Formats: sequence, structure tokens, C-alpha cells
Amino acid sequence: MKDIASDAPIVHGRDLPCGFRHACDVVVVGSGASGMTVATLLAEAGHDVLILEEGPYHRQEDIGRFEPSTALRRLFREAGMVAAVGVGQTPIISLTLGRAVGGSSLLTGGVCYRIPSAVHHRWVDEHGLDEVSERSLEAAYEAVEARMAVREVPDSMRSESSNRFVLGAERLGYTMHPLRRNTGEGCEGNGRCNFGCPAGAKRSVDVSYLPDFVAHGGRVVSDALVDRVVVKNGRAAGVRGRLLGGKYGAPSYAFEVEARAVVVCSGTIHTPQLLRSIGLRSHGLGRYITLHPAARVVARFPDRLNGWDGALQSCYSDDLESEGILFNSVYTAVNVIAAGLPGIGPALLERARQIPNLAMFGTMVHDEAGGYVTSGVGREPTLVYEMAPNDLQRLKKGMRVLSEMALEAGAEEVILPIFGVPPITSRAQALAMERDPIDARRIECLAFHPLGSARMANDSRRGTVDTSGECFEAPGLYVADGSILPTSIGVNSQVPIMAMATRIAWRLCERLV
Amino acid sequence: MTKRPPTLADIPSAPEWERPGLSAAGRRVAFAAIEAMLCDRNSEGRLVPPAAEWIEGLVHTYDRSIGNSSIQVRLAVRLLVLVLEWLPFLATKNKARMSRLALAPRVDYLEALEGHRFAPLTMLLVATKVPMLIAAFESGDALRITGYDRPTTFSRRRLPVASERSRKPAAAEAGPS
Repeated sequence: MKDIASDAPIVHGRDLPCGFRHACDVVVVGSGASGMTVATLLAEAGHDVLILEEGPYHRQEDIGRFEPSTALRRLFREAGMVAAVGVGQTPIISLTLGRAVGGSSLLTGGVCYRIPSAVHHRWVDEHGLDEVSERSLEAAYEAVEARMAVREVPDSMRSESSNRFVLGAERLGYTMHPLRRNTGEGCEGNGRCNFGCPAGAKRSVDVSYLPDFVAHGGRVVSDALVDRVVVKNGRAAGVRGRLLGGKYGAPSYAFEVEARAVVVCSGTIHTPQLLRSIGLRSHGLGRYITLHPAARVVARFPDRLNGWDGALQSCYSDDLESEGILFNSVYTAVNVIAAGLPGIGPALLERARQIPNLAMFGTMVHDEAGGYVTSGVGREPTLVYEMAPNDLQRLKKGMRVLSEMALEAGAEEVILPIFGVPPITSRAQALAMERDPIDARRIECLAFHPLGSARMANDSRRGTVDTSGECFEAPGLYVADGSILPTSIGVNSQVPIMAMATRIAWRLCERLV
Repeated sequence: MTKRPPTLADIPSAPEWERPGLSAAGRRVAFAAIEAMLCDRNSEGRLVPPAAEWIEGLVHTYDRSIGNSSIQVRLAVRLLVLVLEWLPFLATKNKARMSRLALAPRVDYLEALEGHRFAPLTMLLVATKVPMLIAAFESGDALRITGYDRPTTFSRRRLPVASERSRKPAAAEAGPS
């Protein structure tokens, strides 16, 4: 096999006429928030870096003009149909995962939190991980936030949808704070960040890191599925895989990359599969996954709100953080709202006509580790998740509080994300929803932050990687994505993952000299 | 003249290939389901199906989404569609397959699934309804139904500029013409 038959900085793997064999300093598997961060920092330090990304490459200006259904097919894994297999009393949980150059950073609402202090303290006090204390990550947080142009969302950019919940929150004594997002000063409030920003304001990693990566000689091969890590003399020495994405029935070519270091950034669901390909069986590998299950509460007001005018996400309340409940403002594309409304035929269309009067807000649970991944029928792993009874109760409490906020602000009815349950119109009904038993499989949940399937620890009896991200059982093999987080963090995970990846890249730079 | 190596700006987006995900029978079932989900009442109160071309387009989009997914999703969707087709008897005691039901009993059947006391049947409906309808309201007249006031779902928000702001009070004073 020859080297990559293209000198482009981003190679569409599907267009290559044959497979390839390539040698470099570092090969990074995955181009999402963590992979692009690690790769860029290593390239800037003078290393020869190659990123292998399973998904395709799309230019940012094209992404901003995708219809939501097009974005689902071209940017989302499984066209947006990834779901956890629920065990017992577990809601339907659909996962948002990216599959393109830029990964899930293309699909976020741009929300940027740091890991809460209490979580850092727990990592230090209970897990003995002094090296990932709040203070030791400070420089990494600052580097990430500067590059992503993280700014507080001004009140003027709040949608009327969010404003109604803020009003209700104030009347009930809850405090709302402005969110911080990676949109710099460019956000116009187009209200569809998760399907691509028409204004190009969201600084996903293909905007904030990729140009610097390429400018420093880094290269990306898209449509390249890595299915095995190569080990030589007990050390990770490269990866193997095959090229995807060609025309229906076209041949799939194999490739092999040799490298001094392999950095796996495939995400919490897919990383364990790759680590298991070389027989790693370390404690907790593929287990103890947390999801931050979230639910959206929709409220109908008597007046027109046009909730799409404004930042998709603009404010939050952490008043119930001690109970593991967070409230985040949220909206999405109107056609997606319409598709999820209750009703068939005339009833559905009647609901769709009411969309201008609808407001919505989300609640997210800081969950216990109830998930694990296992091999599926084909190449995709299967995520199995059992929600803890406490988490289910927290989710119901979150929905109850949001219902109360909406009703307090003047909503005529609240549509709960519980299938088959009619809309509620009073606080008493909201309380009854929280109190009464319900088949959890009727609850519609979303999850955006799977974490923790290859956890960081101080020794191999407690986790898969050490504090520099290197696998205990495979020297030279690093993991830098959300799978290494030792626990659930209770907040949106993009910045925390990127800060951890930054720290790992800095360490790796020192080792590669 | 030596050829300049390509830069990031020279790299086009990857094309999307057409890949079928459903069988011909699956597409017929999807058509019947979407037709019922999007039908409306006319001025006489009768159910009227939406335009067949629109439904065909939605089935095509759904088919492409399934075709672009993994073997697991393709198999799962084929199974869901099969169950959706054969379940009317269990849910509504109707002895025909869903795709052979008239519009009104089809709507009744899907409504029965949505509100069924056995949660997995509700899950069955939701797992098919949302992906089938995602594209339904994203353009044309259907987008107008939602009250969305921009031409497309990717149109940029029209922010008021300073001159418009200064004109606004004058227009308000003028009142309706």
C-alpha cells in the first residue's frame, strides 16, 4: 500500500482510489471537541499529526444552509436515531451524537460551563485525583474559552420563550443566570444552533481549531473508520481501519497508520469498543456511563411569542444543583418541535399552528452511572441504560418545577414530555405528576453528554487511564474524550472535555520531545 | 507554473449518496402512516389526505435517513414498520393491515397507539412518527402552518436596524390605513 493519494489538508476518504499506509508522530481517532483540540495543540507544537474521522467533512457555510432533516442525515450519527436500550423503569432516551468532521461540537447549543467546584472536590477527595483539581485545570479552561470566544449571553438575546420561564422563575423565587456560549459577538439569535448556524457564529471546533490545525501541517482523513489499534512490543504503534462513505456498492479500502502515539477520541459510546479491540479489560471499561438525562417542557401561552427569535439557549438556574437538577433554556427548529407534538392528523396540525405561542425550557439530571456499552449486531455498539429510581424522581421534580414556572407566568397549558398524558393546566396537576407512579417508558428523554466509559484513575484497579490519559494496560495509547471523566459532572460537557483534552495534549507534548 | 497545494478553502463538502433503507413494502407502510399523521379536515368536517407528491417526498427523505444509518437502525426500523402495519387488530380490533385501512380508521388506529395504556405501543408510534415527520414542516406551505416567519428554516433572523427603530414610532402614530 502507498501513502495517502492526496496532498489536501482534508482528504475525503470516500474519494481515494485505494487504501493507504501512512506514518506520523501522532494519530488521533475522532475529530470532535476532544480530538480536534489534542490534534491542534500537538500540531502547533511541531508534531506531525493525522486525524482519522469516521464521518464526512462539510464546510461550515454549507452546514449553515442545511435543512434540519439534511443536517440529521449528514451530521448526526444514525441520522439522529441513536437511543439507549432502557432497562426496567427507564425512559426512552435518545442521544445526540455527531458523526462528521467537528463531531458533536457541530450539534451543540453552544453552552459552555466549567465543571462545578463540588465535582472537582469530589474527584480530589474521593478519587484522589489531585491532578484534575479545579486549580490545575484553570489554565486549560482559559485556553479553551479564549479560542472558542466564550461570552455571556446578553439579556437582549433571550427569546420570548425563555423570558416567560424567567418570569415564572422569578415569581416562584428561583434565580436565573445568563449562560455562557461559544458564539463570540456574532450570535444573531437564529435559534437553530444544533442544526448549524446560518450566521456562522457558533465556534464549533471546525471553526475554532481546524484552521490552526491545518495551518500547522495537520491533516484529516474523513470517512475513515478505525476498527483496531495496532500494538507492537507491548506499545500502541498505530491503527487500522477502512474507508467508508463511497457510492452504494463501492469497494471499501483498508488503511494503516503507524504512529509514536495513538490518541483515541471516539466518544464515550465508541471508545470502549476500540480499546477492547486489543484485549483491554481494565476496571470499568465500557461501564458506569452517565448521560445527564434531560427533558423539555413545552407551555402554550395566550399570546404570540415567536420563540425562534433569540439565542437557542440563553439562561439557566442551578438553584436545585444540590439535588442534582439543572434548568437550561432551550429551543429548536420549528419543524422538529412540530414532529414531536402530540396528536395525529387534524389534532397534530392544530398543535402545529400553535407553535408561535409555545415556550419551552429544559431540565437535566446529574445522574448515577447506570449505563454500559456492549457489541451490537453490526459495527455500532449498543448502549444499555438503567435509570436509578432517584434520578427518575429528580427528572419528574424538574418537570414539575418547570410546569409551575410556566403556569405562574401565565401559560394556558403545559405539554409534558410524557406520551399519552394530556396537557396539564394547574399546579395541582403538576404536583400529582411528580407524586404519582408513572410508567417511565412513557417519558421522552434526551441525552447530549454521555460520559465515563474509560475512567481516569490513579491505578489500574480503579480505571482505564491515568491522569495523563494514557491507558494503564497499553503504553502509548491515550484517551482524551468524555469517556475519561471520573464521574458525571451535571453540566454541559463540551468545555470540560476540551479542557481535559488540552491538559492531556500539553502532557503528551512534553513526552514526545 | 507549479501547482499550489490545496488549502482548507479549496475543500468542498462531501456529497450525499442515495441509499435506500426501506423495502418497497416498507415505503408503502410509511406512506400510509404519514398520510394519516398529516391529514386534515375540510370545511365539511371530512378528513382529507394531503397531496400525494408531498407524502412521496417525505417517504423518500425518511428512506434516505434510514439508508444512511447502520445495519442496526435499518433492521430496527424494518421491524417497527412491520409491527406498525400488522398491529391494527391488537390496538383497535380492526382486521385489516394499516396500509389497507381507510383514512379515518387509520387515524383512529394511530391515535389509539399514541395513547395506549401499554407503554411499548406508545413507544412504537413515537419511534416512527418523529423521524417520519421531521421533514414535513420544514419547507413550503407546511412551514407556514407553524407560523414561522422566515422564508426557510435556515434563513437568518432579520434584526431591526437603527433606521427601522427610529421609523417605528412614526408608523405607530399613523395607525392603520
